[in-house]
Amino acid sequence: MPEPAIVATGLSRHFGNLVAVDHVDLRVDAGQFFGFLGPNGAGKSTTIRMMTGLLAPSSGRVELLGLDLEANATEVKRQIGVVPEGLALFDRLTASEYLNFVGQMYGLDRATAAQRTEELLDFMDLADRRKTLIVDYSHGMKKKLALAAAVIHGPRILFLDEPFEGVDAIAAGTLKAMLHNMTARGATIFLTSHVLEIVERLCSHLAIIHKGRIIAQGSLDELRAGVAAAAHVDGGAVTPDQKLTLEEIFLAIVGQEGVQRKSEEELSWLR
Amino acid sequence: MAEVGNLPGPARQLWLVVAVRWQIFRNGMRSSSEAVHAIGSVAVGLFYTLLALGGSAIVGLGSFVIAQTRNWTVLALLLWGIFLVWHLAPVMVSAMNPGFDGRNLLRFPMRFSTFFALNIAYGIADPFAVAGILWHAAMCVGVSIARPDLFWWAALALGVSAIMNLLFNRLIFSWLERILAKRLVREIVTSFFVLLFVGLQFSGAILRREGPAVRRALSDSAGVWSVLPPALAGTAIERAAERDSLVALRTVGLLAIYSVAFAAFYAIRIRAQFTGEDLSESAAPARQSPAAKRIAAASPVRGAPVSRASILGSEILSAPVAAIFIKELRYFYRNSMLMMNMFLPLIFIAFFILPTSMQRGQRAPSFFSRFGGDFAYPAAVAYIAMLMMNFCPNNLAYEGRGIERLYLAPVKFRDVMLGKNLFHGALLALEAVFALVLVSVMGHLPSAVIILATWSALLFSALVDLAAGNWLSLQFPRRFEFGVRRQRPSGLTSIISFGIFFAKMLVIAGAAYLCVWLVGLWLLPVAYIALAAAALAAYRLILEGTTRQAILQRDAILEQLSR
Repeated sequence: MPEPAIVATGLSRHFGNLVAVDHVDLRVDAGQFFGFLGPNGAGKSTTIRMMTGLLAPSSGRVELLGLDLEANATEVKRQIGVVPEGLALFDRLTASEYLNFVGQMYGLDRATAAQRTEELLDFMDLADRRKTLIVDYSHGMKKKLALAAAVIHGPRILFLDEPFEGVDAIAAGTLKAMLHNMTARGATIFLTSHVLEIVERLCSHLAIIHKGRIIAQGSLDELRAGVAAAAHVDGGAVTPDQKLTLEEIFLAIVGQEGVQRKSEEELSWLR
Repeated sequence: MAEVGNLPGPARQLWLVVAVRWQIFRNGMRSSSEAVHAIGSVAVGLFYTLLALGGSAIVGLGSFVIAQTRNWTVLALLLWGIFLVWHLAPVMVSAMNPGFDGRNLLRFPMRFSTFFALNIAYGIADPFAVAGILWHAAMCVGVSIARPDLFWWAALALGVSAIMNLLFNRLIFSWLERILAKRLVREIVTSFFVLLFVGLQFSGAILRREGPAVRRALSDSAGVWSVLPPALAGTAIERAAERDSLVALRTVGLLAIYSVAFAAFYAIRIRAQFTGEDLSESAAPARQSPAAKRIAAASPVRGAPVSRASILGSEILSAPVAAIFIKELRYFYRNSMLMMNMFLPLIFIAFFILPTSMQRGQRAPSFFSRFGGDFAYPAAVAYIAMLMMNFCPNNLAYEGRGIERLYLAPVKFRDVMLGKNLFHGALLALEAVFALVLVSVMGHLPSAVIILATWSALLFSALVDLAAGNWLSLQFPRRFEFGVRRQRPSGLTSIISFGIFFAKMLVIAGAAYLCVWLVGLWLLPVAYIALAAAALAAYRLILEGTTRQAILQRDAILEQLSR
């Protein structure tokens, strides 16, 4: 059995009376490309923030690479890379300065940080803008820079919160190839995205969170089979050998009926 | 098919905006940190209230005396004073940018007249505008009590004057906003204003030297400045007092024409905003990737060699502390406000010294002679410490969203704070050395005991400030934007910092008194070194606690700095 890279047990987070994440149990094995899906406000970003040490859980625990996050925060953080929702950039540094800074914050020596900075800037097509302040970057360029910063120390686990949002198709292709390379070399990637086609193409395993709870988890085929089985029990039209897309699976699990009913019956005053 | 709603009237829309601002404020109170900040803001608000009410009393009394003595020229000068405070104080004290961006409202179906009125209404919300209006009212009261027959004239002229000032202020700030939209220009103009402010400090010395000439020039140019808008209300009242109603009316009419002109120019600016002018700094477009790179060659993941070697080439600083130090240095020289903080103390010290050199022929009692020569250096260093440590109590202010990186990185906040403190300390030490050179060149080199005592007192003072600053920065963080002056730390931070400053001064002065008067000057460095040692212990205690404090305050810090 493969070693688990990420284990969340009973992870919960309350904001006042709102339960944003409710007893989430997750296991992601080393080397997996894991997709974490859910509708808006389902608790994806909150879960990622708790898994990366940006937010304290109200209850539950997170283990990364066998180490408890809370008890071994520094050691765990050395092993992970994160592209958070807000990108975490220092906008008055240049791209080159920022990557050097991040590399050194992760304990790389100066020469290694500088060498990797150059490689990453070149790889991300930011080399000719290395002296530009980050504040003057476009959103897509910031995204690429944030991704470069997340990998500069060679993390064993990479958390990506909507990494492809705002990135052009060519850059997205390059990034996807890089991420595939990472998993091939044993790194684990935990990704959230609303672009289900990308998730379907990249991820070997998935979890779907809805209203703070994990409502489905497994490989794409396992989820497909689960949906088909549920449809069969309910007398639906889906057959076990039917190749459902991730979008169809997602809507089936999260609630397609609701979508249809809303689109047909509600807001009738809209032209 | 449903019909779209009827467009609400301007009054209704104005009220809706007021209501939504109130809701935003009230919802902000749900967060305990915002509630704490609000307590501090009340204290700051009290200051402005005192300024407005105290100023009103002075202006009212002054106007009463002016009206009784018929010294109407002074009334015009008083109006000039109010004019300068109204328009310059917000620039100097707090603002380089208007606080309200009305363009947020453009998504709504709003008439231009409503949009214009809203922008004017926001002008009244400025503390100095409130003070200016109150001072105009007080002037009217003062004049009317002394001369009841002038009540209607005073009310009319001063009312129009207040409107003129309000419109002028909005006009100036809207154009400033336009000019300062670009970051580089904004920082250059900010620096210019700071230098102008410094320059004004020398006006006393220049007036002492050139006083008669300045008075003569003012008198000679009375014909010019008395017909300029700020003085017109005074001129109108003066003419009315001399029963010259026609000229008084014409003067008020001229003031009204100025007001209409300002309103018209302001409307041009607002019209541009209303039609969708975008003042934001244009972001660079994403460059098209020429071709997909060879992935294998460029893949960055090659293990994680970790080194603790310092980029500053010593084993004293760990790599993260050194990285923070370098980052602070880069942020420092890219931030005009921080740079000014470095140069201002030295300019001010020169300012203290300059009056002596400006005296012709005779040496008036100077800064040096007043402080007995040797004590010029401690006084200069105290001044430097006071100005330079301004940023300590909010030392995360410029991190922005980068604060998340500090939380994500495998570093303790102790190291982050240490890096920042070392940079701040290095700047302070550099300034102390510069001041020593300045004082020595313009006066004389202080004795070794004084230098040692000064440096040890500075060490004590800096350690106290840094320790308190670290705690306050994590406890009450506030986000600042680069090159923007309209930003203050939490009100509570200001109050606590003020208390710490006085306590520190009391200790330093008390130690000086006890040592010098009871034992001898030689004991002073020893006493301050002992105090610095105690402060170092406290500093280390607080520094070690910052990692835990940062974790406990994580939600509040991330919310405040990266939102």
